[in-house]
Amino acid sequence: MDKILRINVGADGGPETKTDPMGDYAGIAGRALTSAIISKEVPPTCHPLGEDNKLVIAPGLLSGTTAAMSGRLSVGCKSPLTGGIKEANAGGQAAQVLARLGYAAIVLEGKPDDDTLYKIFINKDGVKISTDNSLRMLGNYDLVDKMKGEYGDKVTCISIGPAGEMKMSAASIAITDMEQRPTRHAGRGGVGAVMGSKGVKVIVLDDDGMSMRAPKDPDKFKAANQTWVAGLRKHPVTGEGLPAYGTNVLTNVINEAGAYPTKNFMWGRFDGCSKISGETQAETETARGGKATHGCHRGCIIRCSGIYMNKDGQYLTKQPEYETIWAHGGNCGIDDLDAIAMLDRLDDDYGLDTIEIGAAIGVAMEAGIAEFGDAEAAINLVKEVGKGTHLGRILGNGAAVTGKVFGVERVPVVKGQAMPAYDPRGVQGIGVTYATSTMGADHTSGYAVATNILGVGGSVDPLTPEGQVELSRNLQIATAAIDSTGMCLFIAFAILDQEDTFQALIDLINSFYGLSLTADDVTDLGKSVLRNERDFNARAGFTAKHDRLPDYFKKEKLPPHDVTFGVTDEELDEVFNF
Amino acid sequence: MAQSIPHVYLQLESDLLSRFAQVFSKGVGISTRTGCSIKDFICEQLGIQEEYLEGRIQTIFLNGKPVDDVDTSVIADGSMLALSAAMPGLVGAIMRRGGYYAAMRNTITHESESSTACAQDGIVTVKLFNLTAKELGPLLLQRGVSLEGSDLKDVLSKFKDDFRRGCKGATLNGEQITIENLIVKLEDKDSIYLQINPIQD
Ligand code: SF4
Repeated sequence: MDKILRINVGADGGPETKTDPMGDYAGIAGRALTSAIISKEVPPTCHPLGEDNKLVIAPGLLSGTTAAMSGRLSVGCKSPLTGGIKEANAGGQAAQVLARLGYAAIVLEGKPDDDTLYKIFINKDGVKISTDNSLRMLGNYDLVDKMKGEYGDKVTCISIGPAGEMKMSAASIAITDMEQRPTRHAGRGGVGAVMGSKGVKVIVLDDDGMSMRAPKDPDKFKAANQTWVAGLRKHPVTGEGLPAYGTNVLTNVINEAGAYPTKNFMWGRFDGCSKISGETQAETETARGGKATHGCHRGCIIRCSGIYMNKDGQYLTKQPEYETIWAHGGNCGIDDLDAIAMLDRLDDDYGLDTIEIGAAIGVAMEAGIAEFGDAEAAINLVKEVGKGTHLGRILGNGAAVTGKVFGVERVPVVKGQAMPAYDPRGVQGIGVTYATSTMGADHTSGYAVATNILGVGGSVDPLTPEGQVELSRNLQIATAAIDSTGMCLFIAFAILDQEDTFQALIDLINSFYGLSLTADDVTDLGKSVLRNERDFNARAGFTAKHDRLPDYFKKEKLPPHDVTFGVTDEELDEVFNF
Repeated sequence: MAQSIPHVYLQLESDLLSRFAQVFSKGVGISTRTGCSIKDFICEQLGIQEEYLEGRIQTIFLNGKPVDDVDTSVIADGSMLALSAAMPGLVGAIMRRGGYYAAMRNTITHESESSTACAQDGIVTVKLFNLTAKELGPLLLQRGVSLEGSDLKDVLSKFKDDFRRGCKGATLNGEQITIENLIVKLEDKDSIYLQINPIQD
C-alpha cells in the first residue's frame, strides 16, 4: 500500500492513468489521506461536479491485513450536498482488496468531454479502462451481475447507480459485500454524484494472486490481533448486542428516551416502534430463513449485519441498519418492516443515501406530497428518484432542496446534510456534534466514544455546557483517528471499556508498521484530520454561522419531554478551540 | 387481574419464546406491590439476581426517562419500566445508567425521589429490550403477563407456522383451542392475561 493511482478522466484522447509514490502523504491512510488530498489539491471554491474536484477512494492503515475489523473504506471529495469537505465511510470488500493490490488510494481527477461511461478494471497486472455505454442507468444489482459475468465471481465492485449518473446530491457509491451484492454504501454527502461527474460507472477490483499485507513484526502483530479479537468478543456490545440485533437494537431505546425523531422531527416517540425494532427484525429474519448475524466484509468478527428475506423466503436486501429503519420508518410514520426493507433495496439499487432520502421523503410528507405512514407512497417516491422524474430529482437532491422547493420550514439539516436518527433536543450533547461536524449533520462522530481512554476526555465537568462541548470535540477527534485506521467504528465500545483492547489496537498499528505510537499520537492524528477539514471548509466560505442547528430546534418543544436545544452559539463556537 | 380478563395459556417449545420480542418491546403488565425502588422490584419481586441487574441491565428508563440510581427511583401503580443491556454508539453510551456521558442527556434524566407512594398492589408495565428480552422474557411469560389481545394476535399471526408446529397445547379461559381459532378469538379482546409453559424439545 505504497502508491496512489491517479486517473485523469479529462485527458486528451480519454482517461489517463499514473501511479505516484506516497510522497507528502506517506504514513497516512483512510480518512486522514482522503481529507489531506482534498484539502491540499482541490480548490475549495470549485464546483463539486466540475473538473477541479477529485474523488479519493482510500483503504485504512490496517486494511488488507489479517487484523480483525480492518475493512472500512474512506471516500473523500468536495461534497455537492454540503459544499464542504466530505469523507463517507463504507464496509464491504473493497478496502481489503484495494489494499492487497497495493494502492493507498485511487484518485479520480478531471472531467470527461462527453457523457461516455467508463469501467475500470484493476488487478495484479495493472489498470484497464474501457468505455461501456451499455451500463447506462443500470441499477447496482444488475450492474454487478453483469460484472460478475465478465470478470468472474471473485471480484469486488465499487459502483454508482442511476442516482450517481444523474448527479444527485443524495447519490451514494456502492461497494459489494462478501456475497458480491452491492449492499454497502459510502452514503453521505453525494459522493456518488462526484463519481458520476467523472463518468466512471464502476471500478472492478480483482486481488487474485495477491497476498495479505505482511507486518514488520509478525509475532507481535499476531499476539496483538489475538488480544484484539478476544477483547471484541468478550464485550457485551461488540460480542453480543450488535451481533444479535445489529444497530437497529437502538430503535426501542432511543424511542423510550423520547429522542426518536418521528414524522419529520415533530415528536420524540413513535407508536409503531415495536414493529420495526431490531428485536422484531432479528426474529423476522431468522424465521424466514435469513440471517440476523452477518459480516459486511471478511475479517469482521462483530457481524452487525444480516440478510433480510421477503415473505416468500427470497433474498430482498441486507439487514437495513438503524439509520435506514428510522429514516424510512419512524421518520415517515411507517411501521411496516417489509416496506422499509423494500425501500432499502431500492436505495441500494439506485445508489442513494438512505438517511438523506428518508429525510427528504419526511419533508415531502409534511408538505403534503404523501401521507405520513403511507408505505406504498414512499416506495413510489423512491421509484420516482430512480427514474429521474422532476419530483424524483427534487427528492434525490436531499432534504434541504426538497424543503426549499415545497416551502417547508421544518427541515432537519446542518450544512445542507440531513440529520440522522437522534433528536438533538432529547440528547443535547449530540446536537453539538451535528452542529459543528465538518461533514454536516453526522452521527458517526458519535460512535467514537473512546475519548476518556485516549486521554483527551477527562478533566472538564460534563454537567456544564462547556463539558458537553468538550466531549463533542473529543469524540470528533477520536472518530477522525479511527476512520483513518480502516477499523469499523463499532469497535469504539470495546476500546472505551477495556483498556487492554485499546492498547491492542495501538499494538496492531505499531507492530505492523514498526512504529511506537502512543495514545497521544493517535489523538494528534485525529486533530490533524479535523484541522485539514476545518481549513478546507473555511476556505470554501464556511464560518461559525454554519455551525448551527436550524432555529426551530431552539424554539419548538419536542414531546414527550417538551425540551428545546439549549446549547448557546457561543458555546458551540468553542468546539474547535484546540 | 388474572381473574377479570380472558386467560390464555400456551404450552410452547422453548425456542419459540424469543418470538415474543415485539410484545416485550411494547410492554407487558405485571401485577406487583408498588411503592418500592426499582432495585427492589427487579430483585425482590421479579426474583432477578442482583449481579444480573448490575452487570447486564445497563440502561433503565422509568416513565421514559433514563435512570441513574436504581435505589432512589420509585415504582408506582401505572409506572412504565424499560430495561436494556448495553447499547452501541454515543447515544447508547449516553443512555447508560451512571455512565461517563450521562450528562449529555441531563434535560431528560429521571430525578431521584424518596419513596412517598405507600406499598400497595398495582400494575407496572415492563418493557424488555434486546438481550434482556431474550433472557428475562421467558421468566415473565411463565409468571404471567397482561397485554392487548391485538398484540398477541399480531405475533401469533406473523409466526403462525412456527406456532402451529411448536405449540403443544393452548387454552382460552380453560377451554382447549387451536392457534388458528385463538387468533380469531383475540380479534375482539382488549386485554388478556397470558401465561406460557415452555417445554424443551
Ligand atoms: S460491525 Fe457491522 S459495519 Fe462494522 S465491519 Fe462488521 S458488519 Fe460491517
